[in-house]
Amino acid sequence: MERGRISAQQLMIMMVLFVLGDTILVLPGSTAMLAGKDAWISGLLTVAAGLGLIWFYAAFQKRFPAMTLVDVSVNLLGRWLGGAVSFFFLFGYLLLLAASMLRVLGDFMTTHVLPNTPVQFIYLLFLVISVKAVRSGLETIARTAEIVFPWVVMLITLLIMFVVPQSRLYHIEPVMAEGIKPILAGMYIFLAYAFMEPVAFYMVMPFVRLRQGKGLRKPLLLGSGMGGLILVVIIFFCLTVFGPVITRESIYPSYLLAKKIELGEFLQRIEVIMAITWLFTLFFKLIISFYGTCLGAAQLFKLKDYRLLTLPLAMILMVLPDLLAPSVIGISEIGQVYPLFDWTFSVGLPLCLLLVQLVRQKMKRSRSSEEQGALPQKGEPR
Amino acid sequence: MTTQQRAPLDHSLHRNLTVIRKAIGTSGDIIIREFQAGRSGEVPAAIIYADGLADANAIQSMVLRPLMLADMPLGIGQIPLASRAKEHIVYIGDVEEITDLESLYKAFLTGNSVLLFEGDQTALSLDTKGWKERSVDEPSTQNVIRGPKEAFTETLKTNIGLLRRRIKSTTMQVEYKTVGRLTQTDLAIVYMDGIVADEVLNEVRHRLSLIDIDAIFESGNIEEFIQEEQLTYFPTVFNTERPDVVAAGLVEGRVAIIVDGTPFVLLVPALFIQFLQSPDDYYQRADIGSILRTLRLVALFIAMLAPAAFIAITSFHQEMLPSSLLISIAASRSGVPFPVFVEALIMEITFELLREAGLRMPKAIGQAISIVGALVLGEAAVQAGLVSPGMVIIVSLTAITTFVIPYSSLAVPIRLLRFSLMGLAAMFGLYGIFVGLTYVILHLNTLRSFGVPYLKPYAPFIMADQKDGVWFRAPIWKMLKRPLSLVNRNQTRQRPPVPKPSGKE
Repeated sequence: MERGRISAQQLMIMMVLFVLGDTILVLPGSTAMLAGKDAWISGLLTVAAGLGLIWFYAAFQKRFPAMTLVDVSVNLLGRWLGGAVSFFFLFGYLLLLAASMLRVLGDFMTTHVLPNTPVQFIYLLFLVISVKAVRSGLETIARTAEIVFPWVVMLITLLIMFVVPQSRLYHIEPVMAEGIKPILAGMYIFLAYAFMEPVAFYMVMPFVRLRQGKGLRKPLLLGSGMGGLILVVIIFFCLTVFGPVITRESIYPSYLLAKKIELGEFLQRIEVIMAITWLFTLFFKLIISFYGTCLGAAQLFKLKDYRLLTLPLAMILMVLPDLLAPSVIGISEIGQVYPLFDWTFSVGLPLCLLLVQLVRQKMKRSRSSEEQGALPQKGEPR
Repeated sequence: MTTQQRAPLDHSLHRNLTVIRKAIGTSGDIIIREFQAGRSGEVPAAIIYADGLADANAIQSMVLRPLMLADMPLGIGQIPLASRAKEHIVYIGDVEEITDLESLYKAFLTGNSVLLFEGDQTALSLDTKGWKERSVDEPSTQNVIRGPKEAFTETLKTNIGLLRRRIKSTTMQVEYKTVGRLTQTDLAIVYMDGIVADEVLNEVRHRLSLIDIDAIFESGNIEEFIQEEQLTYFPTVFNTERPDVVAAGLVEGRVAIIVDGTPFVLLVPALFIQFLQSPDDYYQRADIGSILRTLRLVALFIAMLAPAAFIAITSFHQEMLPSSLLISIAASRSGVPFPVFVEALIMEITFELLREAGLRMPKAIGQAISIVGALVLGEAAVQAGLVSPGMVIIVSLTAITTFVIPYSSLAVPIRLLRFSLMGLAAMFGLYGIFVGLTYVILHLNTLRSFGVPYLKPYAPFIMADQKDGVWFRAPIWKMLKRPLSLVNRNQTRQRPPVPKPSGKE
């Protein structure tokens, strides 16, 4: 199915890019909407909580080594029930995740960068490179991540460096004026967007080549921790540069942040170059979830090669973003409930599977101990 | 073809010569000289050689003269005359016994001379090669400021000699092979035993053994056969005419393929970064070398992106330009009838034409072309209002930066990609450039050269190999290991402590 193997280091880099994903563009706004000027605190707390969640993913994967989520559910729940669960996970979650990436991209491009271009062409172009990436296999995706990663880090560092002079701490004072409640509300959405959507990595983790005695935990925790911290820093500067009101009201606060860059008369309005940063992170979030969908579907339907599915699924992806929601307003409406959706598939599903496995193990153990206790009598049918 | 199937030689000199004469037909350049060997002329013999390939002087003084003056034993057919001649009589270093017609033909067609005796089924192939060849000259395409000024020639043996002079170690191995059914082109696989990765070496041998074609004239023919991916602009086989580059490559664990008849030697596995590393990076101080490499990387991006970025910014993202610059660009474009993309396309294509013309022109007319290019296309096109001065600057910038890339095999794909990116930029602005570049990175990552990922040591990232990367070179005394990208054994290049002036602590 997938013959390529990636290294722990590559997994880490992919994790960073995935966590940044579309989140880097939209998260500051939606977190500030709920947590106000304390959004950065809820960000910090979320990173701590999120690392716990990632630890859980790693532990889950360790229990089922070399198995994707589809393998696990088919194994535990049987061909039909497991198949149905995997089907919902793949087409009800991963594919929608990929589609929502495209939707975010399309909305962003048509409102800010290319107002006169039909959104379908923007989708089409992005899908061309996505299909190319997924067809080239996991190794190519991982290596491309390694090439892109330093540029992304460099551009984000530049962005932060340039806006530091314009940040004013009084925007976020007084700290925790409204108490803990808004902070927790902000955490709810941050946790879902940044640390639950990496559930897509269940389709990637089995193909990580691990050195003797090394686990998946370290690269996953490092990658998501780094991504989470970058998000917190971006939120912090959005708040200190614009204050909570503008951050909350704008859909893409970090793009606004890039507009603030000004070095003398010459270097100004370079936000489009900054936009390329999140085009890259968004691209990786999209191709990893798209890859997961294709690979999982091929496993589910027992196909020899997942590449067969890339083109048909890409055609579905071409129209799916527009079916997600009728308008930008609709998208933000969905944004209110989408975290629950994330909870279901990234925490609910693995927990259920884990529970099933525990129950089965227990039953098997009690059965085997019964068998040992009472020796079967001669001639008794077994 | 196995030895059993080959036609053996006959006892009778006359019958042998008849067969050979029939085979060579009317070719006047093959000379068959019959003579009587021995002081009193007791043994009929014949020597066959190709005029123009074999050295006639050597044949006369080293072969014919001693043979005619030698004491030949009586009794033809009793003593193996050929082996006696080989051991006692001829004054030639490299002598081989041959017993079949095919190797006999091959011997005189490659410049050896063939000696036949009456009554002996064995003939001798004498190395008397001596054709006119170009002397070892300065490299014509890959020049450096500092570094050896020798380049390979068209002769295989000279080229191997140039390598041997640089690597005086018995571990440098040379394997000969012949490809091309008609051309019988010799090629040599050269590698360092104990350093080279066995998988790579076996893969080279395997791929070369699969070639079955009538003619091979240049290493480019071989390159097309052995490269992994055919559908790519990017070179996955490295070629150079500089012996120092090949020697350095061998020591790093690469395999060289030298083809007779061309000064361009192939080096595999080839990585992307190799095409951006000029040999003088290593001969100049490390900091200078690093700066030059960074400059080259910048040039690569300018060469690929400058017109595309200009198109994207002027037609989609005008806000990125400072107002004063924007106004002057708009003013200079006011009389131009074309969109920026068409304008850029016209200028780029014109430049490519000029470049191609300049390459093919006889040297005397070359100057005329450059005048036409500079005056007509620079001045006149602007004054006529066909293109804007800004575009002339952009195009000349891409032209200059293209020549900064040290190896033309990488400059060509960059030139081609420039046009695709221009198209994407004209349609989608910087988003198009993003998509194009991402596609190129993805494509580069699918490439492998003899099993080694093309973008190594950046993807997969190898920390130790960053000492000799695309924008940085550590001092020589810091490079303790051979590149891990290529070899997985015998990695030690040097052992600390590094030399320091005495008396200093």
